Amino acid sequence: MADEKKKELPEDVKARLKAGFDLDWRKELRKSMPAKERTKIPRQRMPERPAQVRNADFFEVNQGLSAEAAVLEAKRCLDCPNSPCVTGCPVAIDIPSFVKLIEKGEFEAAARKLKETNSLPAICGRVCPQETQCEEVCTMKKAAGAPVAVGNLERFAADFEREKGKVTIPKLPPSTGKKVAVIGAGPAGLTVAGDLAKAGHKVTVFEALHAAGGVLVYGIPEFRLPKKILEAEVDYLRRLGVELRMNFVVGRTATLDDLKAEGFSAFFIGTGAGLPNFMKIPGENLVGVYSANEYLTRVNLMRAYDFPNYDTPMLIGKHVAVIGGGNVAMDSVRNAKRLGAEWAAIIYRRSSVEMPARIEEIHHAEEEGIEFHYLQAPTKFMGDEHCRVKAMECLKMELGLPDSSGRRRPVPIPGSEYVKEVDLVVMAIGQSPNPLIGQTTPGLKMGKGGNVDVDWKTMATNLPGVWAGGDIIRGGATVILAMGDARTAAWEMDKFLKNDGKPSAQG
Amino acid sequence: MKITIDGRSIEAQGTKTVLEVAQDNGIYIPALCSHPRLAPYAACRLCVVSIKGKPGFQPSCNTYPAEGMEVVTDSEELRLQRVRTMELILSEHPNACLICSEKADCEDHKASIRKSAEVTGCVFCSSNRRCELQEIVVRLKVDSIPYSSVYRGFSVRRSDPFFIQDYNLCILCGRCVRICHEVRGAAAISFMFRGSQAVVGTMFDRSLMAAGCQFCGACVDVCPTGALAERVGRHEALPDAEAETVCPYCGVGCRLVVETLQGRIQAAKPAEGGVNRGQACVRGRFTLRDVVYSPSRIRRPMVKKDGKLVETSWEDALAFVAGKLKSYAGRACVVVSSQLGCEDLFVLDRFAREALGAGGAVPSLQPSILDGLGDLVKAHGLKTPHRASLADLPGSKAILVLGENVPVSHPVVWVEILEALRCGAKLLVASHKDDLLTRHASQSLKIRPGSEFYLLASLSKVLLESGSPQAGSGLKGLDGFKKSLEKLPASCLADTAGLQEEEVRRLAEALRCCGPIVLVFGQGLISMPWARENLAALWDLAVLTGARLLPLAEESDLFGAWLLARRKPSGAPSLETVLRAATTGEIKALYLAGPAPLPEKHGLEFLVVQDSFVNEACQGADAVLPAATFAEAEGHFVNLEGRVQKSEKVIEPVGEAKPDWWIASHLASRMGAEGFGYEDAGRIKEQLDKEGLLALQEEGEAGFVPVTAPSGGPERAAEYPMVLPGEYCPDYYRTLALCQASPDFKVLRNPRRLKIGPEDAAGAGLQDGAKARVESSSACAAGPGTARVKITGAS
Amino acid sequence: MSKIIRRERLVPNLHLLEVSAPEIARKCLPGQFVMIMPDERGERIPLTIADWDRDKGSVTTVFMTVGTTTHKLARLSAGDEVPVFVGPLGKPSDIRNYGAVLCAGGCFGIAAIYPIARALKEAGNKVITLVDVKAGYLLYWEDKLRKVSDRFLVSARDHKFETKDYVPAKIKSLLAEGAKLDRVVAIGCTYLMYSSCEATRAPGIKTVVSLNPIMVDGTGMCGACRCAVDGKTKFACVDGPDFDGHAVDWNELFARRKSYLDHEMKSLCYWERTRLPVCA
Repeated sequence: MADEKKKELPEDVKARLKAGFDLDWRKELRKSMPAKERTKIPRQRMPERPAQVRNADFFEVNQGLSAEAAVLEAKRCLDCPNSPCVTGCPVAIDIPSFVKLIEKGEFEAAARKLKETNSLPAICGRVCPQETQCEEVCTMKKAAGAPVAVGNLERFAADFEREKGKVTIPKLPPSTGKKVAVIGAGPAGLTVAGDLAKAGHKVTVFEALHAAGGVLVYGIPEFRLPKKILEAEVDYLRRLGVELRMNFVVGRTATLDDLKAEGFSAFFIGTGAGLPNFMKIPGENLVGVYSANEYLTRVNLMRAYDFPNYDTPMLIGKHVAVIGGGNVAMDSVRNAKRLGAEWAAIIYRRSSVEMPARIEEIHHAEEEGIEFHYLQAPTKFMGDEHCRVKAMECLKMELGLPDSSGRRRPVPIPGSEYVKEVDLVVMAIGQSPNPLIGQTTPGLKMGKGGNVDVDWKTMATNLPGVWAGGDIIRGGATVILAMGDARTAAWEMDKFLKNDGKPSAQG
Repeated sequence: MKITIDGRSIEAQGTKTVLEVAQDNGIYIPALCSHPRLAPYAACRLCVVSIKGKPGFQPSCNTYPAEGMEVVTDSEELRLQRVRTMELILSEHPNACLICSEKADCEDHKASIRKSAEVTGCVFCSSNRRCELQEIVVRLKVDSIPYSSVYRGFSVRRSDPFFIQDYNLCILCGRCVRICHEVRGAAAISFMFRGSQAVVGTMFDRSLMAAGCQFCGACVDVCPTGALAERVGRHEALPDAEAETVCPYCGVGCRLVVETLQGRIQAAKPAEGGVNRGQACVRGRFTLRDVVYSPSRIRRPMVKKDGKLVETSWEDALAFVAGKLKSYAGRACVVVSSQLGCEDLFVLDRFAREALGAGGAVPSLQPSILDGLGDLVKAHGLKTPHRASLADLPGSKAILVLGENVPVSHPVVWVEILEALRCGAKLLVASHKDDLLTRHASQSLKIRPGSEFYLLASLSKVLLESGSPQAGSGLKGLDGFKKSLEKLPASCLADTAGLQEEEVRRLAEALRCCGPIVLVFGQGLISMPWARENLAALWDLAVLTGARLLPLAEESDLFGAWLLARRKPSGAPSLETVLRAATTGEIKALYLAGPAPLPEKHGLEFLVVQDSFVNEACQGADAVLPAATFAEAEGHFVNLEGRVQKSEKVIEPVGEAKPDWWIASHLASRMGAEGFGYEDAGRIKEQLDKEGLLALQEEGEAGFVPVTAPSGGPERAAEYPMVLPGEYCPDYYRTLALCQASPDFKVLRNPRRLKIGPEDAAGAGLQDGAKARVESSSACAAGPGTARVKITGAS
Repeated sequence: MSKIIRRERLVPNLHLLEVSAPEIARKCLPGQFVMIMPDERGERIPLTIADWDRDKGSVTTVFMTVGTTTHKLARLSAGDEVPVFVGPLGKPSDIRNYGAVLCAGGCFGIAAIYPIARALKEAGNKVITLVDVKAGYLLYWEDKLRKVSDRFLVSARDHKFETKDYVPAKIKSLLAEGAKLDRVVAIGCTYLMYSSCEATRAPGIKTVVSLNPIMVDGTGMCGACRCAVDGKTKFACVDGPDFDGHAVDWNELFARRKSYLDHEMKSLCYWERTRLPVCA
């Protein structure tokens, strides 16, 4: 999947960009300040709450740019003719347009522009790994050493519209009467629901848990993505006419065929990667060894940090080791710190360079007093007489040849074991796709890693009228990639539904 | 007399039953319905023994030894008889776990807390592993029950505070009913229905609250099963440690055993020995845990930085306070609560005098009954009349109680009074309202509030006129006393108190009986401007009738504070003068180690609060220092009898709280005063003993004190027509009101209610439960006092 | 939100809860369970499905009052709504004609065994039902179970019924009598299932147990319910809850079930003191 970013933009997208570029107000704006001056403006720092204060509560870390800082930051964008940033974005958001609208001060228009191509801007602005996507190819990175803060601007526009402006509902076309079933209310599901609802279809989202958002509600903690932002986005979908049915497990409560019988003519599978991976090493089932999913679900979805006001209990560790180096690991270890861990550390088998987590998250974690132990991996966990984990044995590693993902494979150094006292361990070593949909949908073609097999151009599965996208086809990946798949799938499903059910040109 | 039990010859008196004699000599006889403080009941028939010459089996709990009696307590038929009885008892009690074959390894396989809603077996019960039934089943090796168990299906009663009642577990041993009737006198519960329907209950099946229960917890303590279980610790594991402390609330000084689990207080139970003989009251029994772990506990020292209290370390706080106080030497005062231990009071007093140059530590409860008596001793060089102890009450013949609601303010004293009434003593009550006290009184006089002096003086007058020979002859100051009595205007003696001549004569008659008399009085007697006159009249009546005085000290260490204050040459100023000086600005710094009604606007420049709980004074304070409570520090308390008792340290201090003496001594040494290097409370106690501060030596000889009529009649009566007598009840610990600490206590005693006569209520346009406005004549009400007030309906 | 049709106290500590859930009633099979959450602040707990009415669209479960959540469920009444009632979860029980099957159930397991016994009876098995209760007054659904069993035995500690001894002892005495057992299904508390498996290990009779580990989401997403079954880590919520009792690592299950003992106690005390006020 790594090479996918450099793909050429489709012609229609290029045409739209060119049209925007040639607007007169865009021309004056470019002339109003020469490029040399724009490069002199420093990148605006995102205001954060002090580390020692924020690592003891669950309020949001980043405070968001002020209006002036946003306009100043927008001024740094050179509005390049070939707009490399758009190619960097998996969802091909028209970045120059919304950034220039911010520079002009029309924040609500910028938000509306964003929503044309991205239905969850407030969320992407916070959780997207911009530094490896749009901001990586931004010309300002080469020119002034620091790219334009596209993520912060995206977040600013979306927050502005939600808090101060009116969230406008686009005029819905007449209902097409076609019923669409979206399975899973994660980032992919919500995006498909939004796009198809705007296209006039009757969309019903089926969600197994009792809250919508998938990984956004149980995975990403409050201090990175406050629940009120997610609720606002979900409420926006409801006002678009999307019906959300909670506590409904497709595959158990009803299978795809049952839903077909109920009159649903198109399906989108967005059940995400819920199955936690384990290292299958001795002592992994000891009490106090959590999968990252369980640990984060208890804290974020079930609010176990407010026990006993909330009934779900939680083991509070004083010495917490989080195994893994991704965003999930970062969230888990920062949660452990907030819950009162004196020693909270990341144990990652590769080195800091290979860590997949966002640079900003790693930086925030370091500020909050998290220790990083690179080139190490646990070999076994030891428990006390109540089978409660009390220590783990780690093995030092060194980096060998790169593996299929292009990252160098860690090779254990024999005899380098050492024992570390821990009373809580979180296994954050990635998730695989949720097996349930595969087990209960006869005929659905599955890939080798348990993911649903799709045609990568149209996101269509081998079953007619059934698409899939997000982590269920990729394994544990990012929110933005899920939205990218969802966008493509929605576009295809719309075509499929418009010529009433005849299979469209299956690519 | 000599009796033989199982072949051992044992010396026994007639007063103890065979069961008690056996238990005293280490011979085990199972017994469920007997209890040392209760009369024999012989209901459970488990304690049967065979006595030579007597047919069948005799219950040893109500058989008294006779000369040469031979008792056999353990034989095969006796064991069989007891097992049969136990099987019958257990057939109506959820017995599944007692006889379950998997009992052995059930504990380590239990996978959940299992103390659930309705008890169907021991593992579900809160009394598991501390229940007398289990003990007897193990001793008698009962392993099967031939009858199908009967489950009566009562729902668990939750409608009362502090404890729940699950009468499915009740074996009808009657201990709770009997202790409520015989020892506590509340008689709130008794047996309802008869035969197989019998159950313990209240009249008309109303809640315990409605039935007059005082929630003393005596029934919960004597219940052999889990039928009565404390709500708070019901689901917790068994305690793993316990320590004996003195109850911090009132002056009785009950000894309590505080049970802890992993260093946290679980429950407090009355100790067997001590002043309270195994009894306690609702405050000591149920509220300790809520007070020590109250959310309003101050946990870290705080210092005011640009208008806001900020938490700091002990180092900075002490340095800041010491530095500031140094500049106010001579213009500062220290107020202390007399619920602190003697060590704390002693060091705080020395800190006030040596480091701050103030007169001494000012007790926050003023006026105090003990000071009043002390002043009379100093003024006339006489010995105070004989001081009564709780143990004297049961033996006394007449008890005169002056206007104190003893059953609510000092319940354990009331238990001893009830014991006396059972032994034939007469209870004489002079009070302005009807309550539990007047219902038990053989003679009860209704007097207008604040006119006790006239009653006491006329009683002495009647006793002197009747010329009984032994009335005070040959004692010092007798004729001085007689002359002062004549000076009193004869007519107003009776009618100002609203009494007829005849009633006073009958009361005097009762006091002339032979046998010990005890005069019980409390805060009510001295809470009006003419307190000294009241005490003088009481003193003389006591000397005249040879009665003993029992002062109901309202706070646990009031006696200790008085003993420590006694030796100082220049007494500390009174609380009222300190507060007035604070408002006018005469003193610039105030060190509050006790509750003090500080007015809103005051001229203080520096205010320090040293307390365990956050209170209003903290808002305006420049520094707040967390003090340890009684349970977190070792200390000595002197109860109302003058008995010095040790209170052990139960738990580690909560947060960074420190004992009061530690704070004061560190402050003092930082301010340059010497001799404050105490390592622990033991050192301070040694110094107290060395200087004999807590010893109570009384020189001088008995005698009379001249009496003067109370001056200062009813001033501004027109403007403030009514007199509002205060209700004196130690429902607080330092500055924390128990209603605020314990939600259950708030259900029992709501402090925000006013009791007013129906005509006065109609006059002020008030219905039951309406809001009322109270305006008092005295400018700053220094503590609860009898004040002239005007009561109107609040808008 | 799912509406409560009926909540009734069957016997002390055991309550029946009938919830209106048409989709679940239409699809559920014996051996499956639902996840329920009593209120917005509650926790999610699994309850085995005991009965259903497909046309009325109602699902019935029986639970025992142990911790805060079950105490809250026990205070619900008809017409209240619960925020979570999701299912049917887990793999249905393996119903085939095995010959003679012993269905053993203890306290809440009595209700859990009923649908399985009914299905086994319809599949033509000779069904022997053994119900274990602490005392006579704790037995419920006797008529329902009698209708679906060829032989119905009750073991109570207090002599009310034929036998007094616990499940394993009763199984041994049945085998001694020469009763032929091709399969045993045991559902109840962890100890009952564990001891039943020990009793049938020697004679080698396949014993199926419905494991009750602690769960959070119940749809295979969190791994809280993982248990070791013949050496491999399995998720009880998607791979189970039925497992071969002889392959289960019981010590690990006992330990994992005790992960939150102190929290359960603290939560129950907190709930009873703050949100169950004294109504004097």
